[in-house]
Amino acid sequence: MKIRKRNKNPKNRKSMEERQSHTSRSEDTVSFKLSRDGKENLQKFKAFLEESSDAVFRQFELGTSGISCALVYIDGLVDKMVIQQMIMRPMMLELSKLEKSGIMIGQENAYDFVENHIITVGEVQEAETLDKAMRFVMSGEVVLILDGYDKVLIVNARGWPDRSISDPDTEGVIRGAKEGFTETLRTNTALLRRKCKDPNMVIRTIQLGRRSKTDVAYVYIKGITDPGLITELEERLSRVDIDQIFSSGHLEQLIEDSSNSPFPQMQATERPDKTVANLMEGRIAILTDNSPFALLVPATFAQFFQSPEDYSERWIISSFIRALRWIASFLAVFTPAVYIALVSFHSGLIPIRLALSIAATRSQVPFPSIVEAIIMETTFELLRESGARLPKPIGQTIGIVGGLIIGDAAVRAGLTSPTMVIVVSLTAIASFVIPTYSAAIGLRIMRFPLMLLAGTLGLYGVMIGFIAINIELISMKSFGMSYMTPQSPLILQDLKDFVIRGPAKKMRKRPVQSYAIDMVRMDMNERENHEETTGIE
Amino acid sequence: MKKQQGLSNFQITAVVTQSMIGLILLGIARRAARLAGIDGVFVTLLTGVLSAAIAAVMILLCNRFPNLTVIEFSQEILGKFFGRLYGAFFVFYAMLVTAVTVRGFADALKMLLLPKTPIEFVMITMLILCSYCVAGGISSVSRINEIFLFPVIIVISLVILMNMGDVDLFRYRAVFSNGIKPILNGIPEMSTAYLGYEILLFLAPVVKNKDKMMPYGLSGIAIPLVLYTGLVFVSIGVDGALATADIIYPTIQLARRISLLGSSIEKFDILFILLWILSIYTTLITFLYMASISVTRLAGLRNYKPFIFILIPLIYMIAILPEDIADLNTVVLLSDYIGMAVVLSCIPMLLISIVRKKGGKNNGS
Repeated sequence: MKIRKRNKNPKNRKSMEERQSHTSRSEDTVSFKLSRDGKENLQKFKAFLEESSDAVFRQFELGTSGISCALVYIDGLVDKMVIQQMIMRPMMLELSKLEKSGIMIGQENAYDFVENHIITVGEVQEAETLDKAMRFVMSGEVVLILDGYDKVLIVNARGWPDRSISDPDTEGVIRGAKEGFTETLRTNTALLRRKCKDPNMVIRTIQLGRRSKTDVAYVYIKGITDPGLITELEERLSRVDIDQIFSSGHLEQLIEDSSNSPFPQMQATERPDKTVANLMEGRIAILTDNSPFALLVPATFAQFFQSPEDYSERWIISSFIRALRWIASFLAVFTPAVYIALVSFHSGLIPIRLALSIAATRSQVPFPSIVEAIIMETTFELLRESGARLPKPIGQTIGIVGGLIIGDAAVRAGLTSPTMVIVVSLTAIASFVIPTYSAAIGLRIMRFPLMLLAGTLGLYGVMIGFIAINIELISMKSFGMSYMTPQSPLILQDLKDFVIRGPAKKMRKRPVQSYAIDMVRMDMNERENHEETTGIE
Repeated sequence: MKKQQGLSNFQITAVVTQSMIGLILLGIARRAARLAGIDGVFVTLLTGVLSAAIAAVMILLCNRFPNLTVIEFSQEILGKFFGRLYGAFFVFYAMLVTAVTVRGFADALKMLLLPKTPIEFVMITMLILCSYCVAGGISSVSRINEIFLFPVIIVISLVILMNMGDVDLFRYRAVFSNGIKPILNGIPEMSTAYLGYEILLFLAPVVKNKDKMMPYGLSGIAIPLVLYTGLVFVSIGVDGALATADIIYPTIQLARRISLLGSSIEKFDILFILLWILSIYTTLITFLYMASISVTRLAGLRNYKPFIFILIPLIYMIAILPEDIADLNTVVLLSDYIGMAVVLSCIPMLLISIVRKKGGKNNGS
């Protein structure tokens, strides 16, 4: 990787050159090869960083030998204590004590001596070119330039302000771990390591983004994850050519299968325990620096209805809750559409007493039910969106406005019927039951076209919408895995963790839907023997 | 990474079942009662078994040419000219079935659900929705079939089971009273009710486990066989053979009798119609796929997507052509005859292919 910007399109090249001639950039004036002259090397770093106020260039001499050294680092990204106590102090003070006791340091052995005896820091690397060294500087490491060497030492002294590990906001559980990912990649990988001590868990890191150089780590368990899946992911990551990776959600859109779909094709999670559980099923987790979300691939639609909580509770309870979520997803999508269809097309289908009371409440409303529904659903979406963006103290106001004014007052003013308010609130509650935010919002959007279809074609329109959503879902893929697995293609074995969550003892195999190559989760023979013995007792 | 290619075993079953259950589902008992009175049950059962036998011949024929559809292997068996003529029949037949089905569906929907909506609008929306799915290829078609199979089976079974208690076995008195003859006479007309399994002729190249076509294809026929027989049995048992023969949609009649949850769901027939829309849709996409793949293979091309959009207006034109139900019935009759010809032609085709030593294990294609 080069810092130099690549001009791929020859048509643009001329204009690019013109633009560059006005503000000549640092990389056009400097050669990337490091020289033996320490001053010159420092000058090369300065060519890039001199204008930035947070860059620090510190020149000093190595002990009393007269070899000049320089440190280059970015203030704020490094731990100052490490630099002072473990790099500069030994090099300047303690070395001169050693020299007094007879050890000689000259030009020929200075580099090795410094690396092996002076710097008391765990991680030390070296760099031969400027762009490699520069990349380390920009990610918070310290470059140590020694005069007379055409390579530089890279000392790890990273340390920056960091958010502490906290309860994951978007995926709360009652019974389960209360820690979520943070914005620092290293913290996140440590969280994963703490949950799985298998040395086969591989964490590979690459840098994406021509300018942002964002660290992107992908984690998998060797021996469970299909190597073909890893190759596919690596291939997709290598195709990413962009200046900045903004967040994990941004990266997701750059490597997903079908971008013209409202449904997420990777599972984003804030929870390390969920991530490790998915790794154990053979999936790959993609962690992006500066983003507290891991992406899990391949994903299927059914996964978005699973919560880590399901596996902590007894299977009967979890199965009930899981079924509830599926019903909720149907309610969230279809309730307003079915209501419109029933009221405006098939009023004969409503039980007669209910029909009478609906008619009584609707007699005050001046709009047809489709208009009424769209007004109310849009209002609800407005409330939700404003609530999500507002600072917390003002957030309560939204609650009052939503509850009192939109609910009660709108009915009294004759703008909407109480039944419609019930329909809208049912939709709202149901859509928040779905554990994954991105899947829930994808489903919620579907309500609007469905309402229009119901308003024009009644229940037949609702069925058309239902079929269209199904076509969309079955034709989608996530890393080659059909989105509707295990329903279509039907995989009987995986149905035990679909609408119901089967007993933990019966989950002896990993799901087929994640391409796992090692299917056995529980040793069958051992387990059967165990059951036999307990049966006898 | 294991690529998921081809139809899984279960998808074969789903495609066959779903292409068979369609328009006739609503009127199966009427046809059976009209043909043989109370013996209609046996007509239905027997015809289903015979259809399964023909389907078995079909699969044997397909197994001789594992990488070809009927359009291509008919040219090998019959020679270029007759083979193409035979293929052209398939195009015509598949288009006709699609048109008839969409028209019959629109008529039924107007009667049952949407009295004020023009049938043209219903047909256009349905055909557009079909082209959306078929454009995704056989994988989309088979998955939609698969995903809608369970709802359809469950709702039909519910109709049968919930009415089982009302079956009056007295109405079955004097079974076989007219001898075996009316049963045998009813078979030819009844067999058109089972049409749809000819899609098997197009599945061979896209199936994943080619040796599993026989058991899973036949179980695809067993499902409608059981459901149809059940419907006819219940319908005649509840309403009597004479009344059943006079009801336009006996199945809807059965659904209407059901009331669930203390009659809070008393309009079960509407739920039934909604799920019937799914099974009509799956029939339509299967036949639209059949039509477009036939045209494409006849023209010797690979990409069939453009042909869908050429076929859709043609199908629509055929569908609006009949002026009333009587006209429509004539077209239905035509399509049924062609369908039977197509299905029965598999037997001579198999014989010719054996005699001329075309296909089979030694065939390298």
